[in-house]
Amino acid sequence: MTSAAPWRPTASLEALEFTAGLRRRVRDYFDASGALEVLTPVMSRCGASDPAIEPFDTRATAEDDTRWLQTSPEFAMKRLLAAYGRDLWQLAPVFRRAERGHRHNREFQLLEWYRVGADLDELMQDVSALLHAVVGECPPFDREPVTVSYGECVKRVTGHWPESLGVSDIAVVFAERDRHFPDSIGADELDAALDLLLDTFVLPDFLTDRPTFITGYPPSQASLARLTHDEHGRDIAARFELYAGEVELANGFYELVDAAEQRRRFEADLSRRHGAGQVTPPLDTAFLAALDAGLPECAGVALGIDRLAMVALAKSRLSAVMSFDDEHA
Amino acid sequence: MSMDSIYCARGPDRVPFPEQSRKQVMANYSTNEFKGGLKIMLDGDPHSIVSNEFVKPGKGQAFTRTKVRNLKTGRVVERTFKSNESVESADVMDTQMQYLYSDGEYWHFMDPATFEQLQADATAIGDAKLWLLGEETCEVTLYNGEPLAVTPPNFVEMAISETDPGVRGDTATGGTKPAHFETGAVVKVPLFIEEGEKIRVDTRTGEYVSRVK
Repeated sequence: MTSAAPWRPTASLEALEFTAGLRRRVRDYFDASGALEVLTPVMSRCGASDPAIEPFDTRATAEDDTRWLQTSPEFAMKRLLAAYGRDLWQLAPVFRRAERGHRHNREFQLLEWYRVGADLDELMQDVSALLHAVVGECPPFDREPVTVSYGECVKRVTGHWPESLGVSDIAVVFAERDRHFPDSIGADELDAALDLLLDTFVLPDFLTDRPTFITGYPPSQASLARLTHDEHGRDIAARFELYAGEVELANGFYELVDAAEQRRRFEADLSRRHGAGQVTPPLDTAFLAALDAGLPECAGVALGIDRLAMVALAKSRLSAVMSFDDEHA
Repeated sequence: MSMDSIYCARGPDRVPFPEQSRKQVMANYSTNEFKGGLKIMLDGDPHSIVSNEFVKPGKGQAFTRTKVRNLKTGRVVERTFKSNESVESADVMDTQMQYLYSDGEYWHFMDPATFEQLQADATAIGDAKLWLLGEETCEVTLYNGEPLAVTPPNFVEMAISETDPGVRGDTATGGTKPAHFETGAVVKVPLFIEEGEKIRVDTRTGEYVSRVK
């Protein structure tokens, strides 16, 4: 009897050859720049606390202890940074529940690296250099990235800095442009409203012939970045995102090294998760202990390597660069 | 409160596979169950999902962008949902039914298995009435058990009740003329077609397909 199960790969052989070459060039880039390749546990006692990310746990029976699949190798790599103070990189499989779509797969590969002593500008230059080295032949990476400010982008659409907007102001912007704004976004969910505003009115206008860095995120979206000021004296988070057209590729931080501030953010995140009925993995106390011991001043970035390959090959679906996407895994 | 206590409070009553258990209990769909053709209630009207896309900007809130068709008006609009929002399912069902007759006000259909009969009003029948002579098997979309829309078979064969005289032998020029049918339908047909001839029509486009010998 024959089985009708679809068994063919979702990527062509040419796409797989391209991704293999991409990984080789990534390794060459980091070898040449003196960063140490590391591996960290895929399963750990702790999981993501970020309210926007849903971790998988691995418990199959009640007797198992709960382990969480990593949503990012960040905490383990920062423990290594605190211990050894070296530039580090790794290409790590990560897992995020509920992220499925043309440009999302629940399992994907993050290229994560840290530069000791670097600030955000230096890290952005490093990202540009990596793009040049690994996909520099492929549009839009054959041109230098442009940098835009989150605040300026929001101001161009709404006429106001993000911090002076309320959710209802953003709803009005959608109504004026005849676009749907979900009424499930509560008055206290300004960041969600800003996310949708960016996705609807800002990203579609990004240049497609070169990459774009967005910098100067609202402090409420600092995540693991430290806070700073822009040239107008506005409070901003020292982080960036990298886009190719409207496709997000990377998130970079001038890393927070203040253990007390990190603990406050964690507890705020976890209580928000608890309030929203999301799973609340245990707090990563080993990571906090490493911060207490002292994380060196550093900047770090996570880049979605599958997305990078997708854009470099001018594909519109992630499945075109993955041997087997989520549906066929 | 320590973080361990938050986790423990949640631990014992955690459902291992929340999606599956929720689906059995409530007639609601979570955005992660969205797919083309799913029928949902929005603003009190049944809608069908035309397309949906998961978007997640940066490290922030995930959304599901959809295009939905209002099954009462046919209008397609954009709707955006926060991920994991749940939406009431619409009690909409597609059934195969046989068209029987029209009394002028209603169009009557029969379920060939149960012989149960239903009547569709002018709104529900829409343009489908142009293609129905009797005994055609149609897809009748039911909403709360009442016909909401009728989709005729993709192809029907009907005899022309009125058209200009045929131009003998003209199978090449590609000219057309209007042909009228008993149902009120008007179809452009090639010049060589005669009144009284039976033709095959694609009901999705209202176009002539071929002569029926």
